[in-house]
Amino acid sequence: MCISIRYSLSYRWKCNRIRMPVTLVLALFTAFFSAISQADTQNAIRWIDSEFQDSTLTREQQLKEMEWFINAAKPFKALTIRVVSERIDTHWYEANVLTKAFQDITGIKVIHEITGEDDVVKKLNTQMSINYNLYDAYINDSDLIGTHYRSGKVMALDDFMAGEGKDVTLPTLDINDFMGLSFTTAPDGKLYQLPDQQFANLYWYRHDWFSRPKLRKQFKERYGYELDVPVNWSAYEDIAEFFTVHVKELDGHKVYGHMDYGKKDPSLGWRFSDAWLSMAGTGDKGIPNGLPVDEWGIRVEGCHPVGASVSRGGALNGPAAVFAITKFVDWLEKYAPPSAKNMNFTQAGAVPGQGDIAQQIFWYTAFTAALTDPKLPVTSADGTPKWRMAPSPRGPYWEKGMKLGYQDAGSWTFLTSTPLERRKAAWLYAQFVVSKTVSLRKTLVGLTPIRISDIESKKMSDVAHRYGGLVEFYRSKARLAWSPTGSNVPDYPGLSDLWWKNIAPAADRSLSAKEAMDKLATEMDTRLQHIADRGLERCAPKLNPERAESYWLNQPGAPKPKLKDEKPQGITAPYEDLLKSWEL
Amino acid sequence: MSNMKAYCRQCLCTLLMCALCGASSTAFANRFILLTEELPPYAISEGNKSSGVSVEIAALLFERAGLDYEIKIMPWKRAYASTLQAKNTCLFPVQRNQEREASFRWVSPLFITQVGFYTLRNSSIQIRTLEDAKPYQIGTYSGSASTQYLQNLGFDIESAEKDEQNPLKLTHRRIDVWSTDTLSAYYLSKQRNIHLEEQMVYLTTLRALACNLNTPEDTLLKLDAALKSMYADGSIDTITKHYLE
Repeated sequence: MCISIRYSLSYRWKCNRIRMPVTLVLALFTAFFSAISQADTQNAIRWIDSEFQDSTLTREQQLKEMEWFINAAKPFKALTIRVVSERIDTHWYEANVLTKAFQDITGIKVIHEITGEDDVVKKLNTQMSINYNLYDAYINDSDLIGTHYRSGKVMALDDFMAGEGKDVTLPTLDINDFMGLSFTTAPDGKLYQLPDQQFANLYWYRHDWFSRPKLRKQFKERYGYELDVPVNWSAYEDIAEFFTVHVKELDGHKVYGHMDYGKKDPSLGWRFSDAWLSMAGTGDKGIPNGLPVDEWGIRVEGCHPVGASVSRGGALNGPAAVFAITKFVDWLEKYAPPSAKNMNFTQAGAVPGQGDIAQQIFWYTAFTAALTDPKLPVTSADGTPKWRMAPSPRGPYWEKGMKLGYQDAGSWTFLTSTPLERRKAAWLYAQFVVSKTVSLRKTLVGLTPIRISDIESKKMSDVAHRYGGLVEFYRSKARLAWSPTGSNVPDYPGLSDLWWKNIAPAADRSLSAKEAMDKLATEMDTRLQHIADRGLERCAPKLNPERAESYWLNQPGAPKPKLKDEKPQGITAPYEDLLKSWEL
Repeated sequence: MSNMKAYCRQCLCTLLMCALCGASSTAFANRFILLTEELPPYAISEGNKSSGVSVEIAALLFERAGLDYEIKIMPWKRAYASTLQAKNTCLFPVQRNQEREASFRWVSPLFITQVGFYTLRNSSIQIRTLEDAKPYQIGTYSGSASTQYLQNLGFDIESAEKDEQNPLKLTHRRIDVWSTDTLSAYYLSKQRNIHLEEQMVYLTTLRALACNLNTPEDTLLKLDAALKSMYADGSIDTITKHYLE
């Protein structure tokens, strides 16, 4: 008996050249791989002691978890895996730090590409469309859940974990510890994506300005109620007017009561597809998304989308949606800095940090870390923020039981067109970056929590005061009322461009809000029909026949008829009271 | 491979014929003008002939879609401005991004590239992540996907007019690292007999055909269908591999 071994450095022992006793060969073989394994363990210890000291696991539990990764990764050591995600701090940390840790510990090399979210979606769509393995895994917003489960091209994680991926599924993954599972579970009850990072869209305001007695007195004299956190859109509008029109300047600087953006650009679409209509109250009741009509205004029957226009039972051009767009355009023109109309998402994102904005109704908590930079005028010298985040105010059509805002859940997504071996290796990396060994540290770096155990940890209590309400929001059940796009949307990449293309003309007043939403709803229905004609694996659209709008407006729920008074009395509440109301 | 050669000959003949005909504009009212820049190995002009990966893919695409076309090589800025203004005009290969999305109608991906960091073979530089490349001066060429990407991230960029200049800049130590796509790295270093070390392939890009906004929907659908068939039957891989030989 002789043994021929080839390993990565291409050394060969050829049977006809070197002959050794089998026992010696086996001893060398064992020693060799044992040495590799020990090296991996030493690397794990090094990373745990240097980078992953903040963890909800004990050091021994962390080591045990890493030992599992070392063993599970052995068949894939020679692979280089390629994954892609959007450009936020959490993913930079994964790309620049966690890929190194993972390779040192498991031997699997990972290239974690970072690009814009629109590019991630295009690439995912491309791989689904041409069946070409561009990436081994995607971190893709769960807004695409309706697309994924209908496509037949995305792997159901539940099936994978119980079947062909069982040997590479982390025993300590603790799936029920993830906060965002309801966002990534399809109507068929299966989990299709695993959350990697989450951030919400909340109300943001200058707590220090709102606390100034002189401003509080002026506001109460003019509007008849306290200058506090607005609970409804009427109060938001009053506060916007107060700062832009009446206060005008603070400490020698021009100030504005509102910030937004309106440039014709794909990012304008997110401003609306990310639940703006639900904040006005456009859809039906239902958590995480309204049923049968969701915040895109699309009605479903069973699992089939049946239309977005009011004439087909949808709500995209209904009174509540038109009201939502009207307010967006009015506030942008009247109360935001004049340059805001020509800004895109990225340009506008930096503006609140410059110290001239009093409040912003639509603000992503992904900016939390960036807005706690001590060099900014919105941060105190001790590093604590002068601002706070609070629940989003609700529009006049909103009713209890409806979602109240948007939450992004960037989630691991695997396509069936990726070869199984590469999918398994990528799944190991995905689980590594959300494992309990790693996730608390990752949360502290990127402030995009995914695990209940992390958000409830003592460490998060210790640092909560630095983040302006982020920890309190995620500790409350209210976080469930802020949710991503739901499963009513059957082809997110195929429909989402309609938002920015149709709302841009409303933003520059070349169309009225009503004209823009009528056009958007008609085009949405046309695209739904195209999707139906193209065919889907399951739950394809089946458009309702058109009928008089009055028929649908007189039915209970969405689409809702126009309110006589769209500006009820403004209501505000002290920040501390709102924090308590989050403790549901 | 013989099919490939036959195809290339056919493609070059078509291009030559297109270039030689000087008929009136009325006769070519439905002809598409496809614009690109000189960019070996993607677009190479030799007299009246054009070749290169993207030229061959674009030519095959329009032939499969049954559309009349003519390929012209010209400076990128001129090609870009013409496509914005003139009907029946398309530009390739364009990196489709958020800023350009609203300016064109798209057929994508014409092909897929991967961009990497390259050093000389004996370099002591080790790059495992993007962050590792931050301390180094990186050679790119103006207008490239990597220039835009790395500049936005605050990298130290030395942008050349043409990518062909970068292998020499690397050997003369005028840059530490060359960032280019895998095909160009292979093709251009081979031309100059330079031995490279691939440090890390850090970015995948989708290269698209960007057409004037007035391009009809049915034309785009024809092109989309033709493109899908080219991926399905391996035509795009075959054309690309030809330039790796």
